[in-house]
Amino acid sequence: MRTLKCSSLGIALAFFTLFAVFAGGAWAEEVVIGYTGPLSGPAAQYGRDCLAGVELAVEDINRAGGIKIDGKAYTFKVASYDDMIDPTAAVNNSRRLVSREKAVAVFNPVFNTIAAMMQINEQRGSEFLMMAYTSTPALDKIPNQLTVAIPPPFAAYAIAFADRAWEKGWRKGAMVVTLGAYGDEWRKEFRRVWEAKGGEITADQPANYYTETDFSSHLAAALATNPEFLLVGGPSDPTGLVIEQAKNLGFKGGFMMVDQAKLNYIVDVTFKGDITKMNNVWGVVRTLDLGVHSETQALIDRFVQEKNIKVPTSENFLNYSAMRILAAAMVKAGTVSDPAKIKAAFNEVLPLPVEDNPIMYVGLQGSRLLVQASIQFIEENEYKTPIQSFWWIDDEKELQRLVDMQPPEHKVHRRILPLEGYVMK
Amino acid sequence: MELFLQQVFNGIMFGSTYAIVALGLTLVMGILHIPNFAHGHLYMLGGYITYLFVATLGLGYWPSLLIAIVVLGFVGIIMEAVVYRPLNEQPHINAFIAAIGALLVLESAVEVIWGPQGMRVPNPYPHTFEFLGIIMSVQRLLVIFGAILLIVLLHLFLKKTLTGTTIEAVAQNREGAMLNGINVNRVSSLTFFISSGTAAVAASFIAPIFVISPAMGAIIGMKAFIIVLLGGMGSIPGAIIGGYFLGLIESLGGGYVSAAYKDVIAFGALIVIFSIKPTGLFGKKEG
Repeated sequence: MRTLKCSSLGIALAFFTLFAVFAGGAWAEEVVIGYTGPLSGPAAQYGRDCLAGVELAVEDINRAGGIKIDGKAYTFKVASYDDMIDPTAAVNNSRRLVSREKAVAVFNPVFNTIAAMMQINEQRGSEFLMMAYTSTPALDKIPNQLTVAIPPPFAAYAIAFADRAWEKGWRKGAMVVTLGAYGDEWRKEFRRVWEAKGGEITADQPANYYTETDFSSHLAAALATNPEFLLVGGPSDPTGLVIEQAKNLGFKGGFMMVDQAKLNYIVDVTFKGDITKMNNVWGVVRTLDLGVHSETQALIDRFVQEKNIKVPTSENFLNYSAMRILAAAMVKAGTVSDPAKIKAAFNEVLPLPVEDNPIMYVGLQGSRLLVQASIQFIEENEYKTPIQSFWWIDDEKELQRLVDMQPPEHKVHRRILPLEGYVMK
Repeated sequence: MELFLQQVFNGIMFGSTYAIVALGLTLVMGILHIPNFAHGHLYMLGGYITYLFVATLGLGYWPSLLIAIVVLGFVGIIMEAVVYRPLNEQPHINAFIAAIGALLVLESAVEVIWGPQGMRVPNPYPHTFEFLGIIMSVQRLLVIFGAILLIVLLHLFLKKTLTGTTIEAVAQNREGAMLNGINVNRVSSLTFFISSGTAAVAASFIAPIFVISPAMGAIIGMKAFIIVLLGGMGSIPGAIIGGYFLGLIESLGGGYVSAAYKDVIAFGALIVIFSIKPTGLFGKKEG
């Protein structure tokens, strides 16, 4: 009898020790990462792509055992809400994410909603880190201590496009760009850059890419002014349609796409892999060329297999990177709940090792993460070597330092493109 | 001049789809007094059914179009029987809410099955040519002439066949039609079949030129409502003329003023017409 009692006591003790071990080390607390964005409606695909990027990063981090701070382990969980690009809904969602789910950071991919969220993310007691996936440079003019903008400002693309068009001898361009705050800013910025060079904008026919089904009336009006190139773009699907319709209307010139539209998505989805339909189209770099091919291809494959995404784009990749950087910053800051401290740690953890994140983010300045803005051209039925623009530096030495940080096998052209207001002093 | 003709051509092509979609809506509205807000979503579903048969199952364009008409027709019948008929004797607001429910169900179902991204139906006639300086494509001409043919056929059906005249009879006087031995429920089903079938035709015509997406129904549904109100509730000529009118206004307004003001112009025209003729262009006085 006595031996039995003893052994059961022993077993209980063993269990207790085991539990203690789990609680002390491997027993992980969950950190909630918030996401609010369009998950239904016309922009649903875009919103879901961004969310998938955050989710895959979280799954990867958790699979590797989460993060450890002061010996305590944490795993991540994504809580996502649909805001259908409605600023009021986005604000309500973020309040809910912060108060109920205890989210410390909230991702959002649309400038309109981000601007609204930036009104509340610094309120005392309910602060959160605004993870803003928008290239609209207007964001950088909003004073906010708790915002991290993920993609490069699109002004860098506008200048890179304009420079190349000018080199080609083009002087007249027309614009058929998506309506809304983002598209309006793009048109304004491109007009400013192009007219400063001495070029001419012959027609400006914005169209609502989310609701419009036919662009031929806008295009006919724009093409009647005989432009040498067209600036087009909004979501990828309708952008492909605009390009096709313009070509059908007899347009033989070049196309530039705003950064929301993606070259490889349009080639592979809209035109079912027929690259010939995309000749003379310029856009932001395709997903594969965001980094070294072996690294980017591996991540592309994982998005296809694990997140069921047909054609992964930079929406997936850049949000993935941002989540990886955020997690690393938490470790460095030694906190999962203080957004100011976490943001302050961003610069210390960048760049991340390439196996954690194939995209070369090098730092954070103000609200903007520093990553090169790369453009690419489809000509003669193939993707040409991309051009990387470093928009936050203005000297060769710094460029060389940044180039040395990149893996040598990443084949790109590089240039310094100092953007007003962004150059590091 | 060429630009003007090009815009007129675009406007007529647009107008053709608008006219067909509005025609189906006005039939249901005038005859059954049901505001079928989900009509645009039936159109959207028509596009997806065409996609399913053309792109996924590899059937030809024309057989797929016919299948889409039949499938959509039956979806219409089911919708009438399940969503609207039980509310026949209820206040109108109930049918309004039921219509919005039906619309949400359709949109979410398509989003779940096919996903939110836009999709393309392969174009059976991608050939383009120039005529009088206007660039036309065969598929766009098909939309225009197909719409005319459909309108003529529908007119003949409503005016020259016995079944067609029962629809008109119910429209004119529901009780009177019942007293004459017309099965009103069967007429309701038939009307929904025709209404949804025509929406499917419009969607199948347009699908190869555009991108189909779950959200496309809400936009066209709203426009169809404007057209029906503009032309006069329940008026068939009103829907046809209203459709072409809106198409032309959009394309000329979009081409010459600015696309940003397209909706302003279209809705502005609606307000002006209403302030002059509150029953719509072809509407009859309530009596």
